[in-house]
Amino acid sequence: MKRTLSVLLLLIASCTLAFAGGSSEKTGAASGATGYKDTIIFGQGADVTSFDPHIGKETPAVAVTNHIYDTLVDVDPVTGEVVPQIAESWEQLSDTEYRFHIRKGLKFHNGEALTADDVKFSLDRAIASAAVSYIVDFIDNITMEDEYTVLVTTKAPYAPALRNLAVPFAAIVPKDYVSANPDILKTAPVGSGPYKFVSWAQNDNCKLTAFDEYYAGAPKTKNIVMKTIPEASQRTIALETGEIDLAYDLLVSDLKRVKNNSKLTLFEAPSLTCFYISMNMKKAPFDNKLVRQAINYAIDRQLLVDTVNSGTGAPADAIIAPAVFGYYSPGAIEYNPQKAKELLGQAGYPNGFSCTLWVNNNQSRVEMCQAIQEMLREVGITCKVEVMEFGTFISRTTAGEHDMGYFGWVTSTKDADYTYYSLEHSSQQGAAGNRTFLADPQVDELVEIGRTNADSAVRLKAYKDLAILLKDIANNAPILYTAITAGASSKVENFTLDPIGYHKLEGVQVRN
Amino acid sequence: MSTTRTQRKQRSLWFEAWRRLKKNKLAMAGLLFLALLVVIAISTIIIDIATNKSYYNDHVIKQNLRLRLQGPSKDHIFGLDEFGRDIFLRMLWAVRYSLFMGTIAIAMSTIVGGILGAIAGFYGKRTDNIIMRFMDILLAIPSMLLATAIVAALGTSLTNVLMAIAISYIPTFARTVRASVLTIKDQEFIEAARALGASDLRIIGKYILPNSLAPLIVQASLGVAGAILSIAGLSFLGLGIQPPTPEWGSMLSNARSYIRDGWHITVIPGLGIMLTILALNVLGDGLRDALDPRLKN
Repeated sequence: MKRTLSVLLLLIASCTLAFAGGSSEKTGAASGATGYKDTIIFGQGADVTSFDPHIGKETPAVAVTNHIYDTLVDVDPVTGEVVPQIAESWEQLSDTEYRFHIRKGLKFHNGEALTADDVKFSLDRAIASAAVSYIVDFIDNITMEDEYTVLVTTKAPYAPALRNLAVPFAAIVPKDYVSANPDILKTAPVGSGPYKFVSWAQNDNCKLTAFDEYYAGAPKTKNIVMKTIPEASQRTIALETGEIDLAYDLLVSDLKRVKNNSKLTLFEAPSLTCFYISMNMKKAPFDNKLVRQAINYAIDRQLLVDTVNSGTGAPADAIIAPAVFGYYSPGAIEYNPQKAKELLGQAGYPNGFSCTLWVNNNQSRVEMCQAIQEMLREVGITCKVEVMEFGTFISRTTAGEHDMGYFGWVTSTKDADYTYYSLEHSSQQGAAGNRTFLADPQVDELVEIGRTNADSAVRLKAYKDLAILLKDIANNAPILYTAITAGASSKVENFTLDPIGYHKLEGVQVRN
Repeated sequence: MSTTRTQRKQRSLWFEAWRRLKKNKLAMAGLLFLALLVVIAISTIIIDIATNKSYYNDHVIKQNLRLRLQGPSKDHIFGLDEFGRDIFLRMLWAVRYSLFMGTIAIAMSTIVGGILGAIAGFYGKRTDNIIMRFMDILLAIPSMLLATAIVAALGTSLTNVLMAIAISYIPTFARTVRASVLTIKDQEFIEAARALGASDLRIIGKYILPNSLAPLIVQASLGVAGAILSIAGLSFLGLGIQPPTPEWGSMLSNARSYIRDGWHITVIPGLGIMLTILALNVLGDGLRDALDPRLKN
């Protein structure tokens, strides 16, 4: 009996071994003779929120859907210039009119031809979408002049119009396909981009394959696989072991490790993201300018960048990053705890006060808040850090229930209007982004000058005045500008960082 | 006359148990470790009161970002954490949360569970069915999941965490007590009490509960271990004690992304949790052996 059992066990063991050997050989054989792998595998921290480009606007979603859909125009990640994509050319007829000439012979992945009809349908759909409307709601009307020409009229002169149309959530989708079933893009996305959708396993991976009829030529690598790896340190490990070729959004404390590893390359560039604390001006004591200024003086931004952020990024002096059009430095915000205490005394809080600082449950953000909490304690402010789930955080701060909240904002259009309008204009309180509930006529006026003037000199002047004014109002305490990071195996070629995080992989190849 | 005799007998029963427990070296080591933790917890509370929290503010939660993740040294024997805080001091200050919260939570569930179990076991029939089926429902949900759901619904605070853990442990105690009540309630001395006209309350409180105490004590000592683990787990998930208050579970959770930069900041809180749980478990085992005369060598 015993002997038969051991023989059986041996048999099972050898079978498993044989199967294991067989499967590993198979994966080895898949790579072609070209010297390049046929698949790029990249890892990121979160899954795609929605494959519908007019809903899924979060960076991890766009990092995937950006390959499926194209926009009218594009912004070159290196030069920052607006370049043609679906529209091969365009002309500005007046302050409020733009005419786009659509490239002829474009096709969607399902074979439908892309015409002016699809463009009008898509932009109207984006305007109607609650999630992304703000990016395109400057548009008053879209008219088809012929099959390959559309005329876009804006409600008022709007300088950053072209850049807004280049944002991936202004994607062009096939009209007939989508109007037959408005929800179809969530599960079976079809666009005109360089890659076609293949499959999606929620919270695990998503697969794309090359669209051979892409107007700019088929992409260099046949397949893309996105793997969701929520824990940032795990992404670094997956990169080190070769499980993935690219890892997005590395943990700041891992950057050195990636940099020092000869098998890996670290990509790092200033991002368009600013992290800041919004103080709720509807609540005491934050209705007092002196208190808000005191909080600004109490924070040692350089120390935060050097330590908690492991030396990446830069201390913020305004709410928009230096790479954004319209950035003006009103001078670094001084770290002066003594001055902070004095201001608190003048404001009537010589012994400080108690308040809460809300943050969503992202570890690096929580760490930043804990360090800030300590800095505030040193000037006498007892601040409780409350960590909450992202959805709760957003809805409760939208309702204005917070004292202070720690936020991050990406200026996706690279134009100051995107941020100043959403975060500082009195009409944008709550959900749209103004969570300090600032309502200042002078601020509103400057934001509107910047928004409606086509003359960049006038706009820059308005944004300069605005930056100086906002530093004095101190409704937000800008903390730091982060760096955008990605780690790659040194076999990866032609990878370029996108400053927003929408890295495109159509030209990327991985050597065997 | 008769009451004094039973009391003396009772005392000697507990004394017997203590004598047996003393012989168990492992259990005594656990007890010693726990006693040490109690002393630490009480001393840190006394220090806080005596210095009006200034020592806590200046040493325990004081950050020194420039020195973050420094390894163990002469000045900081357990090294510094990701904010440059002394891990040794934080470990000491965290003891009170793990130990006392675990104890209080289990005390709460022992009382509630004990009463429910006694009622169910004593009255039987429909009462038993209603109470125990409800306990079964609670038991069907994994205790950690139940605690997480309660905290998520009520919000994160010390009392809510306590409540959550207490509620999730009630069924275990109810079942333990019910089982021993069922074996006791048919014995002669209960019958005698009833014959003498004792009320139900008197029978349960004076005769049944004291006699079913032994399994309850064992269950409670093991329960505290589980509760400490649950508190640490909830804090690890960010649902327990909020920063900057030191707590082993949250220390472990915050440290986990630095595991490759400084071994000490994860290993030390982890060891703290492990040793405490181990101590409670060996003590619980020892108690079980000591309190159950049938297991006497």
